Amino acid sequence: MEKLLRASNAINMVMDRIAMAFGWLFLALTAVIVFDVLSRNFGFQLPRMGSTRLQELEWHVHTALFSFWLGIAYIKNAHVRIDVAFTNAAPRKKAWAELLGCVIFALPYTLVALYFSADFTWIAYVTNESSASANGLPWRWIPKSFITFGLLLLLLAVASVLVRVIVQLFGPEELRERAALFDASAKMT
Amino acid sequence: MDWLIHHLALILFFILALALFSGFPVAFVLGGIAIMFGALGMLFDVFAPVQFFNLLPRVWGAAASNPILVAVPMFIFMGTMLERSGIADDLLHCLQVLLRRIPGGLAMSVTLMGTIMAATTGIVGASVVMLTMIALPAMLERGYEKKLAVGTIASAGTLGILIPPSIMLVIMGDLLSVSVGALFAAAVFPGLILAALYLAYIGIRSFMRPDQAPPLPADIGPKTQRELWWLLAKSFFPPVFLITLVLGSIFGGWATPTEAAGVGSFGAILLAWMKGRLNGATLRGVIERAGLTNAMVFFIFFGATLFSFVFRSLGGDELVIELLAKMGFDTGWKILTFMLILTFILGFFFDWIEICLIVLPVFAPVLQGVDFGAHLGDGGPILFLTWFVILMSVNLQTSFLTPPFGFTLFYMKGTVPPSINMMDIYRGIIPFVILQLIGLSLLVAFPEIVLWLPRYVGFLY
Repeated sequence: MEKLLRASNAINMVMDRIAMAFGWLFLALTAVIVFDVLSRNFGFQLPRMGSTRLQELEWHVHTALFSFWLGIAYIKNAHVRIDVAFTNAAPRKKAWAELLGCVIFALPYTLVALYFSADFTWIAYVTNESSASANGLPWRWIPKSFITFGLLLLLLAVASVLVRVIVQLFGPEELRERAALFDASAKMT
Repeated sequence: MDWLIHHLALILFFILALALFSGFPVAFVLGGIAIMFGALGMLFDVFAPVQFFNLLPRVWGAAASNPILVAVPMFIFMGTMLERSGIADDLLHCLQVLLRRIPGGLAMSVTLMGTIMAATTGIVGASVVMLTMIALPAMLERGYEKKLAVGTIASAGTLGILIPPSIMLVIMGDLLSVSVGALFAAAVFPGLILAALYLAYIGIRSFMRPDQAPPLPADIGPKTQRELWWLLAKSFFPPVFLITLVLGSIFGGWATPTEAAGVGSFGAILLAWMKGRLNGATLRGVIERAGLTNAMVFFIFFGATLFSFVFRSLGGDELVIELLAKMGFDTGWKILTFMLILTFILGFFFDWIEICLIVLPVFAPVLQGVDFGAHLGDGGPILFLTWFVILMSVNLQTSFLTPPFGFTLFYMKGTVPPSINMMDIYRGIIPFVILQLIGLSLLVAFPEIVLWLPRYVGFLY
């Protein structure tokens, strides 16, 4: 149990690092958009990096930006919940609900999505798919792989939460407290 | 059995509604149920196994390779950056100075500030937390009645999601294929009218019960004219700069909403730097907040796309049209009324994002066919859709205020001092919910309020 909990902690830490590293893409995205607007209005462009390519780059970056944060958002409990029934429930009850949710919804969903996403990326790779537009970016498999990697991280996040819930429910007394779910509500829209 | 298979899409919908209340993250529930019913459909031969291969391309097209939605992370980043930049404190102080002699002046300055902040950010959380933290202590200290103080802040904060730029309008525009620029323009006057209604209410109430909204001491603020001008310039420059940059460039036709969002987040970074607030710690804080919020929005997008794909594949579209017709909702007005009431009721439990992403795709085919020419004039379905999105938006904005699950109320609960309990918050927002409904009725009765500006700037004809 102790080992499992440590693995979960390690996953959480690594996920946090990865997400933060990709978080700087917010600045990159800002920079690309500002550059695109300026260059189009002033009529200059980088060689082989015209506006079409820049605009495709924008949504490539956007794809990376949300994909790599899917998992950490679950770990930090930022995904919206409709918690009418469980707001005031005892921690054990909440842990049971989380366990069932993971098994019924999160695991099958993440696994199926991961499988089909990997397939989707693989097809793009073997067919050497590139942008539909002649001036667009090549290597469509790269942005597609962002989603696959994002889902992989999400699967790890689900595993990590699952471990904590299991330790909390069935683990030895002294570990239960340490396993309590991350509960930093970060809803923000 | 046949009945079961025919109504599988409907069952899917009800199971979803039930499962959402499990308290498990909405995005997982949506995706999980979609997969489950896909498998179930396969079992009954109404969902071809090969359709599973369409799931990812759907998500890819809807959420990833969609240049319009790039505006969403940028507006989220911009709003979060502004929240940390400290420009709000200056603005509120300045508005208080300007309105110090008017009864209810402090509450009015909160509403005005909410309106101005709404025109610089596209999200709600930031404005509500910001207003609660800086304005609520000031109001309580001055002896404002608790319920009035809370209601004012909650209502002013929610304007953020309606007044452009707004990520809600970006997403609804994308779902119903209406130009985001047109929606931004269409939302301006409705937002201002709601703000005016709030102001009028606060004014009347403060005039009738001055004890509930005591005026500020006359001696706050600068002593000399020069200092006053400097205060004005200093506090109004940042928001005016951003509003011009973002909304100006969209309405002027120079930039797409996505570009304006990118330029706006550059502007927000610049303002934070000018205020001396830009450092590593702030930046990391902003990135974390924005990153989590963004992932939350797009993960629901992910799940909802799968859900509506399966719903549609199981014949959900025809079923909805058939059912609405059976229930007698066949004319434009009846459908509109149905949708608005449905949204209002759902708004008690769900947020705008679930309602938008689940309900809109389900009803989109019905909406595309609605003819409102007699009320809106000639201009085709696009006029109706624009008007409809704005009506929905006001409705969804109200959902932030309606208990038990108003987002705004939650933000407030996290930030208010212990002297205010949940009942104060609930009772404080009631008058403002009524004002919302008055505003909504005005927009229904006089669609020109919505349609005039987008026509004027040339987004609609």
